[in-house]
Amino acid sequence: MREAGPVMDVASLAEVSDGFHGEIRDLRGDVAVCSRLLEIGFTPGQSVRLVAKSPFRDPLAFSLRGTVIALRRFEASCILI
Amino acid sequence: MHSDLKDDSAAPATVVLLGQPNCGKTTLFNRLTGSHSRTSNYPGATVDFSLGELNQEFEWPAQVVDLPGLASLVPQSPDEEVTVRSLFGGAAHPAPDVAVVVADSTQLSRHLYLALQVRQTGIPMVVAVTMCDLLARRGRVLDPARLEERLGCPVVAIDGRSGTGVKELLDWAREAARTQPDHDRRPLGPLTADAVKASYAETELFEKSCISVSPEAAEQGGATQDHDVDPVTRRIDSVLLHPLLGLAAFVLIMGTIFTGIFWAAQPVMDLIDGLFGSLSGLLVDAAPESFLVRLLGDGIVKGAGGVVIFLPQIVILFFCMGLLEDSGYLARAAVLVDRPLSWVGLNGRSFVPLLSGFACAIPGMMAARTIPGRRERLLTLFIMPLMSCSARLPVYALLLAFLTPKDKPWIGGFGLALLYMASVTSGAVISGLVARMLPASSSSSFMLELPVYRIPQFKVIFRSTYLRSKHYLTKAGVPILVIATTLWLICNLPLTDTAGLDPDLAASRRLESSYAAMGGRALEPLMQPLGLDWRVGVALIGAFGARELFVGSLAIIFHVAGDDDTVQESLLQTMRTATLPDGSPLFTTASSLGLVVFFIFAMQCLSTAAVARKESGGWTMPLLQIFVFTGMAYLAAWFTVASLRALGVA
Repeated sequence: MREAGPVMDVASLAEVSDGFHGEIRDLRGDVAVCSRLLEIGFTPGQSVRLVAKSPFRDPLAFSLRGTVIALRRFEASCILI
Repeated sequence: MHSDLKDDSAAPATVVLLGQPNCGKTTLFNRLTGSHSRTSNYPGATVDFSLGELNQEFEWPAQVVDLPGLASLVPQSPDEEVTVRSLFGGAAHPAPDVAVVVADSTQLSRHLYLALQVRQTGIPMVVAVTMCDLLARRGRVLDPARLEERLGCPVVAIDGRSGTGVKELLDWAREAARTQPDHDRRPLGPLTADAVKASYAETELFEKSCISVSPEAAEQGGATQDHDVDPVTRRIDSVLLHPLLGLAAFVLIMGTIFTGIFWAAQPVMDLIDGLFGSLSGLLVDAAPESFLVRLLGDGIVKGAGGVVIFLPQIVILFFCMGLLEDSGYLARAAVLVDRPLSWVGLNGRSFVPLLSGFACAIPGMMAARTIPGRRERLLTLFIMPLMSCSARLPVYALLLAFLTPKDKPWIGGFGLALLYMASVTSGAVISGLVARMLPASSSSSFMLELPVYRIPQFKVIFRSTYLRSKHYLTKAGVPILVIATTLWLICNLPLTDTAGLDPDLAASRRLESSYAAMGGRALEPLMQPLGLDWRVGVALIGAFGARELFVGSLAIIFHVAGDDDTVQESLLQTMRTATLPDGSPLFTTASSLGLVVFFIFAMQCLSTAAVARKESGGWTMPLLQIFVFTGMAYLAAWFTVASLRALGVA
């Protein structure tokens, strides 16, 4: 879960560190990207977990809804947590 | 128009299989159709539908269509649009009488999202739930009856691998096609974020109410967490996606496939080469010498040999790709290389097509269809001819043998490694440059599901290997054969009287007076700066049929005689003594290196150009490739020769 303390205004899935597990708050950014993310299941309220970072730290792999989906950092940055 | 109760005894019904990627759709399709199926390529788009007749055991004369995996019925790419539109008629298959929505039970909320969309279109439907064995591995069990009640359509749990539940699924599908109301089919309009969220809220409820902890797991103290990944997959991925181990495994796997393609295919390729050679010889010897006999024996049979000779490599390639795809590794490979490829404007999904390009550019281009972004797909197609295809190997083998001194044999192997590196580097540089010249685009995206690792199903892989190889033979084979035959004609027309000459001399005489020789002489001013003459120009023209023809054409024009095994040795001898009109040697270190450099870049394969036209949907791509790459090849060759001479190397 996210640390307590001063609430960062925009934290996204692009910045999470190893072992992250938390809930999606909202989607923001490129409309086409956001609508595709929503349609593949990255909906607000959904819990996600970071499962792997590729050797170049991009793309990132997240588990949600029983599966694992890899996203580029750019797409992950549209997912606010 | 459809009535509420349809008579299914008349025309065969059409059943479409719909589902997200990796939902088990293809396994079901194979179970339903047995070995009789074909893929149909939709005109104007690169979408492959698999079509097949339903097996007789199901006692229903229906046609089954396996659509490409879809995440949503609201299309976001031209290819998805074609797929979605096919549900409403006007495609290579009739509008479906019933849709079978295949849903993976371990990720029910995501997969039922598509089922809800299909329900909205008004197409009669049944839901097939798969992967219940994997669900059990997580200590959970699905209640299909309850889901059926919630969803309002038949739900059957199936196992496509063993066939469990498939007959029942088909009975329900037939019943649905006959009885479900079906007047008002309509595509979905644009979606709002709220509508998507509402659908997911509904599917989450379905998941909660229909999946429960299995009695066995409850006994052992509860199931794994809801959103946990398959435990086996997680353990494998901790190695294969590990920053260091993952890269090492990647290099090992790809290296094995790559060497396998060349090493395992070689004996079979030699066999095919010999077979077509003797077939051609048999034809020429059996009939009295005439133009037609030579056209058939020397032109067409050898041209067909040129198509078939790459089949062993292509079969091995497709088999390995199938193995990686079916096991689930291919998606991980794409993730590992996405970042470096994105630096030069490509995508992780460009990797497999480009790797295939090292065997032959044609299957590589066909494999590029899986790249979702148009820009990245076109860029992948564009640089494909720069990948060092195996048709260049005979040319490199000859030229490197010429350049390698007898006392330093290592130079040949070292040179070949350098050539492969040059191929990769030039591809990366060109791709990066072109990507920066193109207008910026936000369409670059990489969202890829990493499926659960499964033991590959060899039946499925053999079948896809067979279908893809057949596709290569029919779709690429015909243009290759036509082009090779045309080039043979150019090298043998107009007719020359060669009566009474010994066959090798007659062949040289014919080539010397052919249209190709006229072209070669016209090219002479271009060849001179490279230190070469018209004879090499003729061989280069011959190489436009297929690069490896360069060696054969060179042998003919230099009157080299001998068995196939000794041709290279005698050709090397001849090359060492060949001279330019002024008496200086023709093949020097500089001019041979120039030729090698020419072959790295030149887009010389007209068959590849034909496939590039088809895959890119226009002539712009192949024309650019021919002019840009061949022009670049010429300039680079000239630069090599000029700078070597400036350094005092002849």
